[in-house]
Formats: sequence, structure tokens, C-alpha cells
Amino acid sequence: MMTDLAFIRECIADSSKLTENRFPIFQHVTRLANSERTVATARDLIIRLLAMKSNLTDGYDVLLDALVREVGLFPYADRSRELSLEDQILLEAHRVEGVGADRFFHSLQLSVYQELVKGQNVVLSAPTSVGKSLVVDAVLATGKHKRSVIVVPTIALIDETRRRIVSSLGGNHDIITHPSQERLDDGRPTVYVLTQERALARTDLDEVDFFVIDEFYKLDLRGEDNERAIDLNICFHRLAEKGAQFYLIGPNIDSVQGLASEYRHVFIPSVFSTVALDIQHFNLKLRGDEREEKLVELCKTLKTPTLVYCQSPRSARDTAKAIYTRCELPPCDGTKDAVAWLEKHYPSEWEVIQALKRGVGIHHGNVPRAIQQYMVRAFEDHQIRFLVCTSTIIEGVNTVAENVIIYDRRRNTTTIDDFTFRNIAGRAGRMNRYFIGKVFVLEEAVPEDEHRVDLPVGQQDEDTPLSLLLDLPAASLSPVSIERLKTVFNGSKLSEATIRSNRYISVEVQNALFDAVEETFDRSPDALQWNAVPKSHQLRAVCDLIYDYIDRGNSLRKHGIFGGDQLHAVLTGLMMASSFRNYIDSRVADRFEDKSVSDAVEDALSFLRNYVGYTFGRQLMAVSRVQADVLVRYKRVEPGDYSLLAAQADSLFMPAGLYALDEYGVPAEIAARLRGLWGEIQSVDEGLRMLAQLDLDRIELDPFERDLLANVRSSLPVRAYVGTEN
Amino acid sequence: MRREAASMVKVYQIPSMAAFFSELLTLDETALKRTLFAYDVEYDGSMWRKDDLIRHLLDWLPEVALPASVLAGFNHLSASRLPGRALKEIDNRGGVDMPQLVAALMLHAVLRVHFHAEPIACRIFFSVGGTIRATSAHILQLSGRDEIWLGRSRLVAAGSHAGVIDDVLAELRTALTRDVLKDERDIIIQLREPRHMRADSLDAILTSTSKTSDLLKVVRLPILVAYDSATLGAGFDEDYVEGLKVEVQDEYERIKARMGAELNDVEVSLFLIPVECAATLAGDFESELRR
Repeated sequence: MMTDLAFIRECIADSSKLTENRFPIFQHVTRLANSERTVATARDLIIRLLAMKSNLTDGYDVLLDALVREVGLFPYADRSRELSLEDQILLEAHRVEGVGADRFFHSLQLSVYQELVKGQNVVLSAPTSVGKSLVVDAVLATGKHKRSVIVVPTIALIDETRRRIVSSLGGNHDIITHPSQERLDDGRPTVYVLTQERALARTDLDEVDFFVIDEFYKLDLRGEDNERAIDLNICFHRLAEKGAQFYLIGPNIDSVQGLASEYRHVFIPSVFSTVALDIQHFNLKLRGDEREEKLVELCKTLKTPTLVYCQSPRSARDTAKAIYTRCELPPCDGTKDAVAWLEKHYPSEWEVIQALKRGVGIHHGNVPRAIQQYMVRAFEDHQIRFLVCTSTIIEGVNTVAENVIIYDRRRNTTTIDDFTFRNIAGRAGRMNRYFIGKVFVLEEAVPEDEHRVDLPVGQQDEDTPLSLLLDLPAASLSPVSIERLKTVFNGSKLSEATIRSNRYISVEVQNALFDAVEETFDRSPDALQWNAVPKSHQLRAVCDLIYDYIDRGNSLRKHGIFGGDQLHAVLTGLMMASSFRNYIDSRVADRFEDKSVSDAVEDALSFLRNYVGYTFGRQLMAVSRVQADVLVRYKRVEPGDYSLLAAQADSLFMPAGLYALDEYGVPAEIAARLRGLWGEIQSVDEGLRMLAQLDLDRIELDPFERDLLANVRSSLPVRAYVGTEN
Repeated sequence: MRREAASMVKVYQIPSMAAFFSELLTLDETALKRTLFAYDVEYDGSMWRKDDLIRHLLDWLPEVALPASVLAGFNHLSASRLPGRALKEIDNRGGVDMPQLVAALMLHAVLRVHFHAEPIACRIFFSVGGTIRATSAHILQLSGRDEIWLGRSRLVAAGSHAGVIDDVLAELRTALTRDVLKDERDIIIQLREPRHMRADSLDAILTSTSKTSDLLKVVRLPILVAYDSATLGAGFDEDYVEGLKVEVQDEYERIKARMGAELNDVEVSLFLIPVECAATLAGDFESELRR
């Protein structure tokens, strides 16, 4: 009997060897499929056989279909085959109801779905692309849950999830994604799709009965971004302690610690896969030309969609350039409208534009969100064959391809672990399209490792971050944590409420800020007592406090800002700029000598998105709360309130409703044009309604703008049509 | 055989339902490799228990169709809706042989209740001359060995009785001579779902099947015939059981005589279930299934 798996895989990949050896191959595969112990190996081989289905005749096609069903791959079952009633009943048991199209669960999805509809809390670890989200849609389709929350790690994934739900469930659910949106309460169940920060900012999540955390491994505090992990833990705790049923999903987790036993959850670690992976290691050196040579060699031969993973935006740019220049890619017809539009709004030298011109997409966190969405769409529609990504491939976007080239084995400057490696490699292959994913690892292999997720709430000790404890209800605190908090509150002149609200900032920094605010007020009282829009010296005062006490250059230095005066100048420049293009051009013009145009463009975009649009608002509100505490409780005067400026910064000083359309796929530059037509749009729902009513034929638009808006309109949520004639 | 099956590992992990059939007659002709098991549906008062029988068979349908792991996730109500949905799908492609389904369910019910056995559904793919051909079967785990049951079940009306029995026997003879008894053939046994079977037991079957004589040692042909009974057709009679016993024995002898020399070396278990009217039973079963 043929038992050498490598030889079997080799035979399956070669049609003549397969024909020659089909009986012993099938005999062994069946033997593997017949045992629970070896069924995962059988499934891998069956998926490989499916890729060669057209070569299988003489009854082997019948056997293959029987094996497909045996190993639970019902989505791959041949529906044209005549079935007995028993077989049809089994297939019907896997039918997904309420999601529109004729779809079937595979056996893992069915068992997870069954646990969830029974009301069980489920933690599922299964490989990428196994279809964990279909289960979410099917559970929502039951209509059993009146209020559900789906927590995703990025805003890009909010929109992707929203589009998926709209496509699966149509208008059956009211979908909320933005902080300004409120429940319609029109009888339909509500689904909130939020990041953890947005979930925590909401006050209407008390009656949630079901929630999902996508990529739940981010609950572990050993990751790169503790602040976000703490928010996610608080979010989980708030929802779970109120009794909401949960479904935590993520890839390749071996164990979970710290989930309270009262949740009575089931942990389902599964290796169930719907695609097979061929991983090839080249063990090339980090330095030297070897990797680039191999990359070019691979890209010249790969004719199907290929993702290339790089460690950083800079590496992505260099890699993209190597692909299109050394593979001599011709100008790409499918992207010419997008390129023409981008050249109008960004300097033409920006590598993202140059690469796109030649059919190579670049996708990383500094590329504007709507443009990232376009890149993915162009890749999935086969307009571009190569998509060069950074870690956005694993957390900002859910696209997959037949091939994945792992060019760097680092993420920024840190070597990736086995978990991240598997996560990236898992993007290769796609159900029903690419049965076998091909992964090319250019550097040496990442050692295999086990991955455990620790939830800190259930394992509190002296090292548990205070920022987590500060937002937990008293009943959830351990005696050690209660003592630690008591010491913190007793040792500060700030109120408990202020310290809690500013939990993102260490208590030491808050205390130092207290003294600095007091000193600033004593020196210049009106520097802090402002509301809405600050005068220049008032903005300068808060910029100084932010730089000197809160940021201390941690996030600002990498944007070339080394003091409060510079922050003040850059923010003022941004508020005065007539367009983002003007602001970007000024950053390009003022760049250091050693910086390229692409560096300057991406630095500017990163500053806008990461600092101005996210961090600055938080830092400003921390100052606002501390000054309110000092001025009200110690100086007995009217305090300032900086919340309006913080909100404006979050929207990059554009009307909030228009800026928010970026999340739906409308770039800020197009939104700014629409502002001319619509006037000031303050809420995202108003913007969505305007979009729904927009007559594309009656306004002058670039072909790319027309295409982008048509795409956005094709998946608008129902709330875009509420109160409109259509 | 019954005692042996009861001692084995259970794969369905579902408790058996209460006995529905009563045992009418058992004949064990070991030397001839022939056995008869006959069952009675019984009367409720003077009414033959057709409707109860239909409900009983429908109760078994989810278990027959769904693996234990899948079935465990369905509540009774949602599981009972599946056959109707499946039927609707099949209607678009030609429909279901209801009489055969009724008979297959009878055999399953008998094995589960009266033999305490948990048949493992499988397909056997015979490779002869480069082509492979599948036949449905069951594996029954018995204490000394595993048996492959190449079953045939038929519900037959009086008019077609002899013809159908001849067809079944001919089909079995063909399957045996064309596939099982062929020296130049290979076998793949494919289970309907991966089970916690003892790997060695299945291996034992596969390796021992290299020779036809070895394969014949583990193959059994169960033939279930539910037929239009003249005794029951005449209406309720206090002494009908005695009449049925005579009738099934006659039927057994008749079928045995028609088996042919090709089946001489094969274990054959004949299951006979007299019914009042096969056509009505199949028709009402289908109506109930579609409800």
C-alpha cells in the first residue's frame, strides 16, 4: 500500500503520475479518512485531489465526492450528482439558512454553529480562511439575538465586515459602525460592528445578547500594542459580565488561559482546513541580492494572484519597485483611471502611484483607507497580479491569493513568530478558487512554537496594568488590585474620576500634568480656559503640555516633531490648508535631504492618520480633564472644554459626516468635492443618505471617482435609505 | 449473532428506542449458511399498526442519515424537518424509491433494536479492470470479527412479489460474481464519516480480503423483504400469528430455493416482515415524510 505522503502529494500534483497510481493513492487516502486520528491529513490530500478533479474518471470521481463528504468538506460536494435521501439529508443538515445564496457549512462550521445556537459560549481557533465568519452571519440570520456586537481590530475590517453582512443578510439587520450612529429601533435586530475603542465609547451596549471578537488573540497583553489590548479586554469583560453570549475567533491558538469558569465556554482548537498549503523555504540571507533575485525569479513565473509580505512600508515600496522594474511589467490598463486620479491628489513620484501604474498594488497602514480598499478590490478583480503588503495583510484586510511570498521574516524590526508566520502563510489558497496555496519563504524558516492566549482579567497580579484595573468594576478586582488602586488614588491630588477617565496615561504622568497645569494657570489663566476653537497662544499652551508631559516625543518624534512649538505650527498649518494635497506638498517641500518624496508623502499620511486622527484627540482630552479637575476643584474657576477640537482633529478638521465616509470607501478628496455639492454634512448617516440619493450621471466625476462611488453605493446599509424617497 | 453484536463498541452513542416489532420466527441453518429472522408489526385492537410503524421508521431516519456527531447538534424538531427539505431537493432530480427506503429503515430498526447493533454505513469500491464501482454496505462489529453486510432491502406488493425477489437475488449474484468473487480485483472501503473504529479491525478486513475466500468469510448478505401478506390482507384474526409463522416459513423456503449456486458459500440472513398492504404503507410513509 502506498503510504509515503510526500510521494502521494507529488503524484497528485502530476496528472500522469496520478492516473498511473490512482488506485493505491485513493486506497491510502480513504484509509486516512476513515480514522479520526488521520482525517486532517486525508482532508489535505482530498483538497489536492479536488484540484485535479478533471483528471479523475472511471468511478474515481464518485469516490472523490464520497470522500469530500466523509471528511466534512460539504461546500465542495458535487451538487450535480444524484443522491440518496440519506445523503441529501446529510447535505441539508449542512445548509446555511438565511444568508441568501445556496451555501453549505463544512463540518467544523456546522458544529460551531450548533454550539452557538444552543447558547454556548465558544472560543474557536482555526486556520485562516476556514470560514469562521460565515458562522457569525448564520447565527445573526437566526434573528435570535436582538443586539449583537462584532469587535474587529481595524476600521478597514469594520467596513469589510459590514459589506459582508449586507451581502449575506440584506436589510434584515440594522448595522451600526460609526460612533455618531444611533439604533433605528425599527423592529430589526441591531448589529454593531466596532473596534474595541468604539465599543467602549458607546453607552448603548447594555442590552447586548451576543458578541463576537474577531482575532481574539489580541486579548493577550504580550503583543505589540498593549493599549489596544487593554481596551479589548475591558470591552470583552463589559459585554461578557452582563451575560452576553460570546464567540471568540482567531487562528492557530493552542490554549486560552484566564477565561472565568462561570462563562462555561467551549474551546474548539481545530486544524480543519479548506485549502492545502505548499510551503517552500529558500533560506536566503537578509543582506545581499539573493532575496531580490529570487523574488524577481518567482514573480516572473507566477501567473496567478500573488501577495508579497514585507516588514515595513519602506520595504514594501522597494519590493514593489523591484517587481515592476526587474520583471519589466508593462503599463497596466486596468489601473490607469486610478493612477490618473491619484496623480491629481498626490505627488506623482509617490511609489504607490508608480507601482500601480505597472500593475503592482501597495497596501500598508500609511496608504489612505479608501485607496487600500481599492487596491484589494483591484487585486481580487484580477486587475493587478501583485499586492505588496505589510502586516496589514493579517489585520487590516482579508484578501487571499494563490501565492504568498514572505519576503521579510520581520514585522517592522522584530522577527515574526510562528503564530504570525502561520497567519501570513494562511492567506495562500482560497476555497473554491485556489485549492492549493503556495507559500514561498525567502529567508530561513521561523521555528515552530505553541501559541497561548492569556486573559489578564482572570489572572490579576502585581504586574497587571493599572490602565486595565482602572476600568474594571469593583466586583471584578482581586484583593491585590483593590489595594494597588487604593494606593494610586491616595497618592494623587486628582480625582478618582479623572484618573480613571485618563487611564491611557500613566498615573505618574497625570500627577506631573496636574502640577504643570496648575503652574500654567497661575502664569497665564486664559491659556487653559477655552472652549471650542482655541486662540493661537491657547493651542500652543496645550501643545506644550502634550509634548512635554504626555507624548514626550514617543509618537511625535517619528513624525519629525520635537517640541510643543512644532506641534502647534504643524497643526495650525493643517487647519489652514485648503486641501490635503497642499498639506502633503508642503511636507514634501520641507523634507530632509535624505528623505524621498515617497517618504515625505507617507510620513505626512501617517501623521494625519495615526497622530492627528487618533492620538492627538486622546492626548488633548487628557489635558482637558486634568485642567477641568485643577480649575474646578483647586482654583474654583470655570474650566475649559477641549472636546470639540478633539472631535475635529479626529476628522482631520473636515466635517465629521463627510470624513467618516472614508470608512465606507469614499476618499477624503472625493468627500471634499461632495462637500461643495452638499454643504456641511455633520453626521455619517446624513452623508450616507446623500450618497444613496446621488445621481452619478448628473455630476462631473473622474472615471475613477465614478467607479469608486458606484462600488460604495452597491453596498450601502439600509439606514442610508431611511427617510429618503428611494 | 445477536448476543455478539450486543457486546460491541457503540458508535452512534444514542440509546436504542423501545422495540417496535415482535419476534415472529427465527431459524438458524448454520450448516447451510442461511438464517431467517421474521418480525410482526402487530395489531392495535383490530387495526394493523401501519401508522405507528411509519412513525417508528421516521424516528430512525435522522440516525440513518446523519452521523452521530452531526445528529447530536440537532434537536428533535430541527432534525425531523431535514427529510422534508431533502425530499424537496431530490424531487427536482427524479425522486426517491420510497418502498426501498421503507424496507431499509425496517432493517436498520431491526438491527438496532433486536440485535443491539450499530451498523456503520460505508461504501465498498471494487476496482476491476481499471474501473471502480461502488456498492452501499454496512460494517457490523461483532466480537470475533467485523462483518461487511452487503444488504438488500425491498418492500414488495403481492403482484410483483416473485419478480422483485428474483431481481434482488439476481442483483446479488451479479455483484458477487462481478466484484466480490473476482480474483483480479481490489477493494476500498470508504466509511460515510470518520469514526472511532478500532483501526486494526478495519485493517484486518482490508488485508484479509486479498483472497476471495478470505473476503467471503467476512461478507454477509442480509436480505430484508417486507411483503404483502395474505394472512394480514385477509383482515384481523385472533390466531393471525400462527398463520404468519407458517407464511414466513413458506416464504423463507421459497426464497432460499431461488438463491442459486453462486450464493452457496455466502452467509445469507433473510429478514421477513409481513405487511398488510405494501403500496398503502409506502404511500402513507411518503405523505408523512412530506408533511
